[in-house]
Amino acid sequence: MAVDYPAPNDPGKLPPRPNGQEATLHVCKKPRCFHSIQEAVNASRGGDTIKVANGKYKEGVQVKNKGRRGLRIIGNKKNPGKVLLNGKSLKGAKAQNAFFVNDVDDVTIRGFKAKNYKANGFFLTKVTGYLLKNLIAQHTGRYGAYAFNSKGGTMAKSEAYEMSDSGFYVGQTPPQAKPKRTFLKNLKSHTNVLGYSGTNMRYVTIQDSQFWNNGIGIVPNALDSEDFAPPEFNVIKDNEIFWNNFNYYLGAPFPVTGDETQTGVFPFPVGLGILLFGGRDTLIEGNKIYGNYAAGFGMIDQLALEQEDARTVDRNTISGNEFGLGGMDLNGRDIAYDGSGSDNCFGDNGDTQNNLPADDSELVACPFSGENGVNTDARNEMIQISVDEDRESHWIKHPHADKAGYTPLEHYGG
Amino acid sequence: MGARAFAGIAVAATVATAALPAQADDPPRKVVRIYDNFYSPDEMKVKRDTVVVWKWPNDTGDVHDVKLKEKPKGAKRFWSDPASVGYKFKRKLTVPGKYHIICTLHEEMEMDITVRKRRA
Repeated sequence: MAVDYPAPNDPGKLPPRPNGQEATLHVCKKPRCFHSIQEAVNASRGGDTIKVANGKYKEGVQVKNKGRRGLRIIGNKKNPGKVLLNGKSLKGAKAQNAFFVNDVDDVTIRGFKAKNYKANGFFLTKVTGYLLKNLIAQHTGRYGAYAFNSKGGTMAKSEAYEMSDSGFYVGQTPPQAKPKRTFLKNLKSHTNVLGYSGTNMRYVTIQDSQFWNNGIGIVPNALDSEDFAPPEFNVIKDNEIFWNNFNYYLGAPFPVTGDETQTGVFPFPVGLGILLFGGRDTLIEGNKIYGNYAAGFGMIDQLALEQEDARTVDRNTISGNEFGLGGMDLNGRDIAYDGSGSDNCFGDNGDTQNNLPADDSELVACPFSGENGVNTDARNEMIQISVDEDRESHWIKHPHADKAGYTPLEHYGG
Repeated sequence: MGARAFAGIAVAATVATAALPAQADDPPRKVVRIYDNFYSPDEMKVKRDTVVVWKWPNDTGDVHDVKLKEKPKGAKRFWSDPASVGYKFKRKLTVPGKYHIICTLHEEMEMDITVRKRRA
């Protein structure tokens, strides 16, 4: 189905409200309400609030036109599952994204669950500022919440699962002279290929969140496919990153062909808590990382990146993290780092075990300046962990600690 | 409805469709497939008034779109929705000249279409 789609340079103009006041629009089944969210969006102006009643909605909502700046779309903040957007029987563009915000700044979306879309749950592109909060995305295609080519924003108190790429994604962040940071906090991401992915992300803080039962928990990465490589100036702190051993290659609640589950020319490995695949000036601190069978933390340069000056991992600090839950739930390897790049350092991460390389020669204390120095054997082993089709052959399994309300997932049986 | 009955209906429908006479004035169509991260073909020459159809895969794929970045004077701008699978987008190209198409989500993904002056 072809759909007309105004170019961003010509979005048209919204007439102002006669009284100049911001309005509250209601979506519900009563006669005086709008009967779809899209109808209310179409009638909205900047700063308006759209309140959406509990219920099931079959639509793909699109927010376009800069004149809608500051629009707030509010479902049920306390119980998002009661305001369900279901894309199951939709056709064409409506089936792709539950919410799609294009070039409209400072939009708020709160209190919704999106399910069964083909591309994304909550997708924003080319925006400055946004708030995505109290959201649930289940089985919405590639990403649960996805902010692309945008500056600043917040994703909070939300959950994403069953994505064929990542639960949450911030990518292609434009470099900025006065950076607007993006905050991801109090998120839950599980049963995805990746819990969080950020290609060429920058100025992003991920904190106080849980990433479990994904193939990899968190992956800042440098890729040629998007602008502004590499990732830089990111912070990953105070998260709980555990049990990321979901081998979706053997079965998953989402389609997997193998081709899409790769970073550049490398297939995604399985069994990692955090992987820095290229990136600069990252601070990783205060995280609890346990029960990941390949490694708790891995770092390697993006050796396949065409943009050579953005390949390396530089000035990254890994400090104050706790590995292995005090010995109760060990990672296969706590830290895997081949020594690529320069000025990378490790500090106060407690007693780590079974690191790669085994002599801990790459775990230089902070601060450190200079080339770290590549260990070729460690590098080759890290590459092998990624490219070996028998991914589990590189796992070092340990028993998990009991965790009320959580069940480890390695092989999907649903 | 059993699978056998459904298959029978499907076959009948296919035969019926195939039996339809081609409309003499239907514009020609060209299909561009969307993959991760490229259009196929990424270059084509077509006659004026050709309908170009961009088809997303049916199984899996990343999110892509189709945006007309550079166009001949007088041609209408177009930009598809971002989509991942099971979607298509079509445009009839009525103005001769060179059209440069990009995916706004993947900078390396681009294609060119040259529309000839001669009508289809």
